[in-house]
Amino acid sequence: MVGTTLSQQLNNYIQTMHEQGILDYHFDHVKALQNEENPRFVMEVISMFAHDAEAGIAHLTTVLNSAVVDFAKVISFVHQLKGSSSSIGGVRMALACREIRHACDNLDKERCLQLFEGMKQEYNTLKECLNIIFEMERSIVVANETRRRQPQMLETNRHQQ
Amino acid sequence: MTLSRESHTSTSNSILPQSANLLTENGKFKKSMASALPSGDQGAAEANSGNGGQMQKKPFTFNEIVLRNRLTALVVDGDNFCRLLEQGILQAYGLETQSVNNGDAAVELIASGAKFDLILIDMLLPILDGVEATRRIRAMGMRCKMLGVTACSGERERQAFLAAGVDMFVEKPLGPEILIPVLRELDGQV
Repeated sequence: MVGTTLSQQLNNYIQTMHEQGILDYHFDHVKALQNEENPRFVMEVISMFAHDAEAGIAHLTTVLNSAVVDFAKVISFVHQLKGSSSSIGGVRMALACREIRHACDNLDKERCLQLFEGMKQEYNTLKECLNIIFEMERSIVVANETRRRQPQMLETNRHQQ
Repeated sequence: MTLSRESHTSTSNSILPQSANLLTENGKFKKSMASALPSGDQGAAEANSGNGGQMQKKPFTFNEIVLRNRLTALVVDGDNFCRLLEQGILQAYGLETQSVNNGDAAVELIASGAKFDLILIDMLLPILDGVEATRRIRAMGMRCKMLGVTACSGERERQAFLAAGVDMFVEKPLGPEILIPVLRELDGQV
């Protein structure tokens, strides 16, 4: 069945992301929350994560580029990004956030800026991975919806004959 | 369809959109398709990031523990995303959950008489931080299990949170290796 094949492809892709260290097993927990009653859950979680992450990165950009850096604010935004990235399984992005936190503890603006660039790269890598998962999940949802409609269409055609 | 973002307090078990309610009318978790697979070794499927991994990994399920009793939990987290996931995971294990997004709301909820078997509380919270909120909750005589679940990871922060009264300091995210033993203990399965 088309849907099963797509699911296998998705699982294989997620496994590859595990092996590359881009996602850890916490993503599996998020995926396990998806069921028949909420087949778009993973897509919604990915959208929510990306929206919040990009807002956090935008805030950090503003704060870190200030003449006088408010490190308390940096810590607050980094804390949020670390929590959300680790919760979705983005272990490398979470580690990058931890490094920024250490630089904040040392009040080292230059180091923060340097690490921030690294963290953004990790976010872009993670986002690319999650986008692929999003599209695969969407394909599965569409395939399953099409499959569910097909028996109804066959029944309608039979009545019309 | 979007995930709901309660701005202050979520007292419903439906933290996700109506069609995504993970609980039946009796408050029991609706089993997912993944959990309908043949049983066997259904423990949490630990990822083997970076070391080759297994080719055919069993999907993770929330079936490793089946609660015998009604357990309630409060999630206190200022970040919508983390709060929704933590609440979803607790619900998937069968707990009835509420959530608030700041420490002051948590203290108010406890002060109003609400009782929980488990509280997950973050450290950095708006209005009233997690350390002070924990202190006040303990000062009210609440003796339930409290886990400080936070993105903070420093030893100083760990000591401060433990001193305030959390039973465990957990760096986010809260995984089954920590949560399941806690649930077994709360459920009297130990």
